[in-house]
Amino acid sequence: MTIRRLAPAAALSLLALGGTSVVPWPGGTPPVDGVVLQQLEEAFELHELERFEEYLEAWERGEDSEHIFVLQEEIDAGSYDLDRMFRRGDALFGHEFRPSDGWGDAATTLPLQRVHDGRRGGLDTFSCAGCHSVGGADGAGSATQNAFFAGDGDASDSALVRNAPAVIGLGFVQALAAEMTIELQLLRDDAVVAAADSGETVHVGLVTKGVSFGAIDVGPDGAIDFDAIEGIDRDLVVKPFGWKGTFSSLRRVIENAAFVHFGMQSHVLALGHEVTPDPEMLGDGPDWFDPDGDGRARELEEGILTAGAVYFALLESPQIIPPGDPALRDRWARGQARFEEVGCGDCHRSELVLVGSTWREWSDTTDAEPVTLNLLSDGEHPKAGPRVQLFSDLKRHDMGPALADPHPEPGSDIPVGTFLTRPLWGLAESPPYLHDGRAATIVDAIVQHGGEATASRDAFVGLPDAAQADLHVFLLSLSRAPRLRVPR
Amino acid sequence: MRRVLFGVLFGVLLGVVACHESTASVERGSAEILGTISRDLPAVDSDKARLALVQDAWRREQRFRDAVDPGHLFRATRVEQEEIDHELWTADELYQLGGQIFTLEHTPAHGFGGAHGPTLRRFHLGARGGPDAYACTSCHWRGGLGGAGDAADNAMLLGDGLHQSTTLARNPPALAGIGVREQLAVEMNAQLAAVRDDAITAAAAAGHGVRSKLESKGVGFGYITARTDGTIDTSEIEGLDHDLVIKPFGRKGTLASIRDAAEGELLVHHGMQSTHLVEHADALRIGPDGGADPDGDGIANEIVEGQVTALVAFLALLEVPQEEIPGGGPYFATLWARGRLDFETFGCATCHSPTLVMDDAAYRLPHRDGGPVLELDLASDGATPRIAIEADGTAMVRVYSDFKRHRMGDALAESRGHDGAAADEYITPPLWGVARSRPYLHDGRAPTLEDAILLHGGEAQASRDAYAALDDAGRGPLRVFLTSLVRATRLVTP
Repeated sequence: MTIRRLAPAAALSLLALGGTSVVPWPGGTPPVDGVVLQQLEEAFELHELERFEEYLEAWERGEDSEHIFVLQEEIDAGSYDLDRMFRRGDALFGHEFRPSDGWGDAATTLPLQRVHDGRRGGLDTFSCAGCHSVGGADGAGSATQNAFFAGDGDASDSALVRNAPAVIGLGFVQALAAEMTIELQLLRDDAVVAAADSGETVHVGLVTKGVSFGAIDVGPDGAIDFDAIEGIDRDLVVKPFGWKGTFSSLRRVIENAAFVHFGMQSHVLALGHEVTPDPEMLGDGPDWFDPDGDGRARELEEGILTAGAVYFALLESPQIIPPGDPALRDRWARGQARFEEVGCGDCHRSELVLVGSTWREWSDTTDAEPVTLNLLSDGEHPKAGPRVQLFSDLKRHDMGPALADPHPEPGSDIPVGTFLTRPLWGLAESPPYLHDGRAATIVDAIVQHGGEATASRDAFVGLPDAAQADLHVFLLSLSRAPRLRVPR
Repeated sequence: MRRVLFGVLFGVLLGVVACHESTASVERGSAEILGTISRDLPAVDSDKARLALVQDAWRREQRFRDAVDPGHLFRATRVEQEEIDHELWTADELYQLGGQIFTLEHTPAHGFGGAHGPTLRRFHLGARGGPDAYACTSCHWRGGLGGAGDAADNAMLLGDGLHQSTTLARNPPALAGIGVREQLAVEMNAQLAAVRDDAITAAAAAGHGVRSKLESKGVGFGYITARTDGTIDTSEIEGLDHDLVIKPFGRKGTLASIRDAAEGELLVHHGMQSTHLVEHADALRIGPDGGADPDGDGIANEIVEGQVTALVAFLALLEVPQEEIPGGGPYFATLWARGRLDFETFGCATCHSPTLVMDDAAYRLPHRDGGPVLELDLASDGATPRIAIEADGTAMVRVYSDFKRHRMGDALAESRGHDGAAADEYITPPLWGVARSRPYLHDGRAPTLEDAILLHGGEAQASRDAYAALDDAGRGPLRVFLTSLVRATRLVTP
């Protein structure tokens, strides 16, 4: 395999496209040649590698499956550096799972099951990339790619409809949530001590990174009254993943997605099943190590969960890319101010400050040291800075009856109309909008806000058209850096 | 009052003048080239990169303009048929306008959906369809512009609107090269019609029935017997409707033209109703409200004829898939050559006919209202890479299909037939570009080429068994060969 190199003549021709005509760049400055050349080289390097691996798999079936076979013990032993884990995670994201990998279960029938069957999930596709095609690699899902969770296996209205979010920048999201969780739990623990010391009930506000999650009252005996908590579970764990905020770690998101979409059961799930059998979710196979009874044990090794989480932590972050035209740029600036005036920013917090940039990916089953990386500097670029422009408070809010699900998530007491504030970074590259993709445009999405967002929505609707447009321009700047790739 | 009357009269006079001088008065309307689509693929890599980046920059900028001028993106696609009839747009510009329609996110403000259904309906309600997608690119993305869809993107057709079990699942096929495919079908249809006409003439002259072999471009479709009274015995026709018209599109070969297909997709997937369908289709397809707005969403003329034409031009002129002999040393190239032979030896090529000869590169789109035919030269107007024309004007099309329906066996049969095709009957899908259109088979049930081959049954059972009888090393070369069927390498962003 050879990586294509640019001839000097090619570099010269960058100045002009199609001979003599220079393509005008909208409003701004075109990227410098060096940047283009580097992007080009990276895109072709990846393409050549993927092409080579494609032929390798064609020649000897099973090559691709080997790329997603990662033993946690080998990671613990230091056999994988970050680059290697990134490549394995990337392979996982693109892997087309087949029955020989453990795709499906003993009772799998075709065609694919679009509506999931309760907690067992469905079989709606073969790869992660299959539902994250919008806005670039590791992107969001289109309306057709909506998942139909926790249904009756057939009727679309029995399911919780979920539009796939983009999966870039997620390392920052998990890290922010983890810091918030620690702070909230410290507040709780300090209150328990204070209440015991003082012999009186202690009332403590749950505020972290400027976001209030209500308050708790702690009695002298350590009993906690959670009646006044807001937008968070009683465990005070901020769970930033899932439209309703139900997962706190990428590791578990990967594990769950592979299970419900592909029937791929991680070894960690099986180990849990051995201790606490969960046949309703995992299946009632005769052996604990193969709950779905398809004859495949250890369908996903723990190591690939680690590599997958590291991969997500290393991906680029969304960026704010304003318009090029000077007049549009003025409107963009006004729109940014409007965003706060209208009250969007109350929940869609424009910025959360990340205190520590060190990421630690702990194993579930071994007691080795975690994989460590730096969110700000390691992996793909561009990255968010320590002031993460996430546009979310990572808190749940009531969104009103019109947006409510048909039923609660299985085993969850989160009300049907309550959702986590969707981070708006990357917004422009992730249509359609809202949890089930019902909004074709950003404006449609704003107008359909209800519940706690009703006042802001009304304020937006009450704005003059031009002011609405300014805000729309601002929201369209929440995007991703252009990245060249060869489509596959 | 007098002034008003005078104004009306003046307007009528102007109208008369305009009618008389319509040739001179037709001008470009709101359609506009946005700079987001390109028909040409630069030869030099750095130019490919620069082109992708500048198109992305325009995509973003035009989106901002749409925010301050709502409807800008939609209006930029709004070309009137009259403008096309008067040749105000070049083939290249029509390609770009059509590409803008293909990449447009449809919105309720311009007719997306209808008044009588939910915003999204994943499982179609009969012939009304969804809507289930906001843009063509929702389901045609894999492998590049006009690509294929994932299994998750499967269209779920003709159901009760609610239950998956009532629908027919269809994996979105890649669209690159469909202009050439339609052209091949048109030529074959002309030849088949000639066979029928000759047989009828011969039967009348001979005074007894005449049995003729239905064959076109080397593909046999059984026999017809013309009776002396001019009627036809169709009982021996194979893989073809009794009207002798090959319909190359749709997994079961039920749609004759890109225009029929594209107009239907706009309707069922987006609820975007073309003026033509509003005038001609029945209420089961377009909705019960009648008049100019049968779907009752308050928007009439959601898609005008010129937009349909531009979209067809874009689709017909899409690049043609390529065969790329693997690099990386002689090893894979040797396997590839072996696999190319295996494709014949195993019998794959019997139905996946590697080459069909196209006689004429002129794609003709008939006018639906008495105007001029739109003629597009697939060999010169097409997007790069185009079909290559031999010295005699014909083209060897490496399409890997016989354009014929085949019985694929019980395992691939659906719960019911569809538009005259039996439950287990499908048209041979073309294999060009196949390595960029996973997953495979009509409902996307096969994640890889290996799975797809092994799931063949019915008429393909013997070929499938020949392949299955081999060990993995024996199967490898064929897979390597199929992996070489791709699209030209291009750069995109996002």
